[in-house]
Amino acid sequence: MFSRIFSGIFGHFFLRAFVIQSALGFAILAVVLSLFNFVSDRMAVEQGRTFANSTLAATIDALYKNEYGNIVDYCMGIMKNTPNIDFIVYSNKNGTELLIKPERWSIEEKSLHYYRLGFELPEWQAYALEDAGRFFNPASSFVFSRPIVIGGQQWGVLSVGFSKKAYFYSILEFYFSVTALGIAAGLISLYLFFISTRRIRSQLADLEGIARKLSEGQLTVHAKESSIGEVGLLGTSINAMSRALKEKSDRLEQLVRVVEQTDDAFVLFDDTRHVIFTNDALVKFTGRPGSFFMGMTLTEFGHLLNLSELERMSQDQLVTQCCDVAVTKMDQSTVDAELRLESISSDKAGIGYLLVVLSDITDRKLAEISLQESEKRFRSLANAAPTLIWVAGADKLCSWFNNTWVSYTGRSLEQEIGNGWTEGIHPDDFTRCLETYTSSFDARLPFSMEYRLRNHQGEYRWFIEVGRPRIDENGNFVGYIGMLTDINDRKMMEQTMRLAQFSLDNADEEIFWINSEARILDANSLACKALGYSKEELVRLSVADIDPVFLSENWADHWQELKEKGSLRFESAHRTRDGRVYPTEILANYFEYEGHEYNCAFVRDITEHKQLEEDLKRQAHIDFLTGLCSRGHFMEQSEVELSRAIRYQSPFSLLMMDVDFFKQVNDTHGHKVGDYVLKKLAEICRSILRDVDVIGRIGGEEFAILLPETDKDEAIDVAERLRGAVANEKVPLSAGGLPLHFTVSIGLVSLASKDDNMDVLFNLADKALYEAKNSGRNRVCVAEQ
Amino acid sequence: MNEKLMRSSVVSLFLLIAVASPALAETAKNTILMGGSTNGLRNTTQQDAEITFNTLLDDALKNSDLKLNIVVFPTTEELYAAFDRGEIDGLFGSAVEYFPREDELGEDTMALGFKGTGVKQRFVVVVRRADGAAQIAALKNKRITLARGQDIEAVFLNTLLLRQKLPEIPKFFSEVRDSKNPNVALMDVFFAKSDVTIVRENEFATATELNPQLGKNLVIIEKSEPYVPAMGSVRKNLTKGKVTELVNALKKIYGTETGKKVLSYSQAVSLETITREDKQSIRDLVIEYRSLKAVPPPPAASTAQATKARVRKNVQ
Repeated sequence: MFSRIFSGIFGHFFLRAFVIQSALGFAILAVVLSLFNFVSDRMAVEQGRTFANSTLAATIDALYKNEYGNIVDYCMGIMKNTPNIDFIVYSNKNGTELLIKPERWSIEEKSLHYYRLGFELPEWQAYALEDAGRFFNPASSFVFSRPIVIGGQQWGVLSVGFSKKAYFYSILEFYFSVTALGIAAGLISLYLFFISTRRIRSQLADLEGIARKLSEGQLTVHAKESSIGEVGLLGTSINAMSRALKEKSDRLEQLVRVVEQTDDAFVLFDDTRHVIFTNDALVKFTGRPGSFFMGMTLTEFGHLLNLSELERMSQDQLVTQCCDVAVTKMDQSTVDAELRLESISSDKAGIGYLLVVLSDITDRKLAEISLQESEKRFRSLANAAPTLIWVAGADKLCSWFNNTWVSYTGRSLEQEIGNGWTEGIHPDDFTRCLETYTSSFDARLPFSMEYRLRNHQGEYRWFIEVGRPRIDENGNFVGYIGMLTDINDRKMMEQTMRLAQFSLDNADEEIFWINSEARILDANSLACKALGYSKEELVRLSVADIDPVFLSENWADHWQELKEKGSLRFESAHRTRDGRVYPTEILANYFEYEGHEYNCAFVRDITEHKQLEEDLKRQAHIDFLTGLCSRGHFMEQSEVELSRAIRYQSPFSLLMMDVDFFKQVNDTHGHKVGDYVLKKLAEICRSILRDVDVIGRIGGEEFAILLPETDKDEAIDVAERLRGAVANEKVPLSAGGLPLHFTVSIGLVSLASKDDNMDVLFNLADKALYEAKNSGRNRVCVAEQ
Repeated sequence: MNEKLMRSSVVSLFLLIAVASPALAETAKNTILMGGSTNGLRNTTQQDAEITFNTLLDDALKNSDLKLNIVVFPTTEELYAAFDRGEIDGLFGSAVEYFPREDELGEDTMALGFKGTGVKQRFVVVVRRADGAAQIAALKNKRITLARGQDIEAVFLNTLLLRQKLPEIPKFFSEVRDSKNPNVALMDVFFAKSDVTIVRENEFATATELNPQLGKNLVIIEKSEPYVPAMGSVRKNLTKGKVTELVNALKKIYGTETGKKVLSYSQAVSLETITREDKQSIRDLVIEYRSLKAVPPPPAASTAQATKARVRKNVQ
């Protein structure tokens, strides 16, 4: 156990902790000792003061009476039970000292030792200590003295000697106890520390084992990283170290394998330029074993292999150099090789090692020859191609043009090389062309652009140019290669097509291309605009989607008719995207193209035309001045109503009404007032009569009224109400003055027989009107039937 | 309390108990009660004596069926009254106190044994050498110091004076000073507070050990024959077995640490039984004193002189 505790890092720690703890303990004891000494002095002073005071109090009476026997007896008795009092001395100024000890007492004459001790005190100090501070002399005493005053007179001095033995042994016991306890506590704490560190010691032992395995080359060991504190961190570091060592070992192994298996010959020269290492591949280059070269100087090595450049290249040690050489083998044959020199820093300062590498470049040489031949073939092919081909370097300058290019431009290759070729670009295309070329070049991206290039006759033709970056076998960008294709004819056709499309888009009529299945294939801009669809939306619709009149079941007949006649013109209607329907006139044209049937329909919006027709029709039925039915329309309506009354045997009446003295109104107030009177009359009629009643102006101031479902009596009431209303109406005149009054006369007739016709009824009513006029006007007369 | 004096008193008291214990009467509870007076205690108090001795005796008899307790009376007269009333089973004290009740006490008497002198002690009269007094008669009108409890020493000195036809102490000496103990009495003489004192021989030896200057400055002018100064016994009616048990237990007191310590205070080394012959010399002394006292002494120095001396002492 002892050897286990005091061995290893923890033994190291144990011993030091023990020493530190002990030293610290003793240091503390030293401090405590001083303190204890001080305190003991203070205690002695207090004890001395107390004892001296009590002793003096007990003996002062005896002292006063000179009863020294009682004093001695008292003091000896006290000292018997107070072992730490060595002596008590009463000394007076005459030099007499009464010295009392526990076992004896005496009288000393002519001794002023204790007297002086007490009386030489400063006034402020009531005691003196003799031999104080020398604590470690147990044989000595320290003395407390105080003056004795009796009746106000200084009698002498009382001195009390205290044994240091008791203090000495008490502090000795204290020191012994503290030391023993300290040592015991130290040993116990160390043992507990030893026990409590079992786990970490075990972990450290594991780490030591792992480190030993590492030193033995076992690089796959793994330390516990979850160990305590720094041990865990140490484990982590060891694992990292083992991984790093393993990685480097693997890499070193790979490097050795590479060096041994590579086809390149490695020759390592030390700092004195003597061969210290060769690999097996050197045999292939020299025909000699590697051991042959060991210790050979650089010069000898160069001469032997006919490497004249070797010594010169070795002069510059800081730069890796290489060159192609022909190595002479032992049989005097040669091998094409790349000679490469690498300076390798050694651990020592100064000149480092030199590595000479010989790489077989026979294949590369063959490849170069092959490449040259390939280049030739490429140029032959490119020159024979009908397209214009150019090649540019990484500096953006064109380095080669094929013969087709040269022939087209009529310029020499030298003129075109570099940036000379840009002189043939059309001025309008120049800027765009160069921007595309430059930006693509910078981004190393393929590009395609169209521009005009001048030919040898000075004419410009359109070309499409496609450029691709050139990357060599090592992945390096080496420039661009481009090819131009003549697209002049296509450009012309496109121009024509754009013109046609422009024309269609700007035509006054909507144009639709429809197939035989009524699908819309295309439409011009006006059609899209009129219907509210985009072209893309429109081509997804059929005719039924835009033509509300169109019936799908009639499409086949319609298509057949169109096919037979070639074209059809008819009216229909179109529905816009927002649901509005407008009338159209359609001219459908049938044609076939590339085996397919098409209908090219020209559609015209005839909304205005239809509106005009409606207006004309309405003007024929309505009286312009009064808004009532015109005479013709009234006649048509009267025939209809009469027929209905006869058919359903329902009553029917007709009123004929005329403005009284209308001629005088015109003559007096003018036609404008006359017209106003007529408008007012029409207004009164519409207010009095029903909606089913038909009112017509059949002459200048003559009106006719049809009253369906109205018999004679009812018609009389209506006529009277109408007459009364007119008579009560006042027409204000714009010129001022009294408002104008006017009246009407009304003739009334009712249907009496199914044989009556409108002519008869008109005549009868007209007669009744005439009668009303003759009988004084402003009245209603019923026709006699 | 003066420790030394207390311990000395304890020793004396213990001596008396030891002397008296064999004669203790058996009580219903086997408790034997011994009595003494403060005259026999010298400088200790009644309570201290009782507590010290009872504790010591309890320890000595802890394995016995007997229990021995002491009781201290203020005066000899009260001691005798208690004894006469049968309230105590034995008596201890000086020879002066012992002999008047000797007839009622048993034969087994115990006394302190001193180193070198056995159970007997000599009394010595001590004066300052410088005073030049060589005989007791030369001490007339001198000051004497007597310690408390020295009744037997006073008997000896009075006998000595009476033999020379001199008056007894109060009249022979100009001043009689009391002291706490014989040692103080000797120091009184040494410091000239007194002119003469009488102490036991071992007490004088002890004092000179404490201060050899005393041996040089003080001188013995009279020395008695050896006497047993104090003794004690139980009543006669206590059975022999009980008395023997008590005696054996008390003899073993010196074997205990406490007992040895208490006895050592008075240079005593043992508790021993004494014979009638051992008591005879002190008995003869008492008898002689009584017989001499019966003859009127010659006229002493005038009373006026003695009174003057007392007054002078008080003034000082």
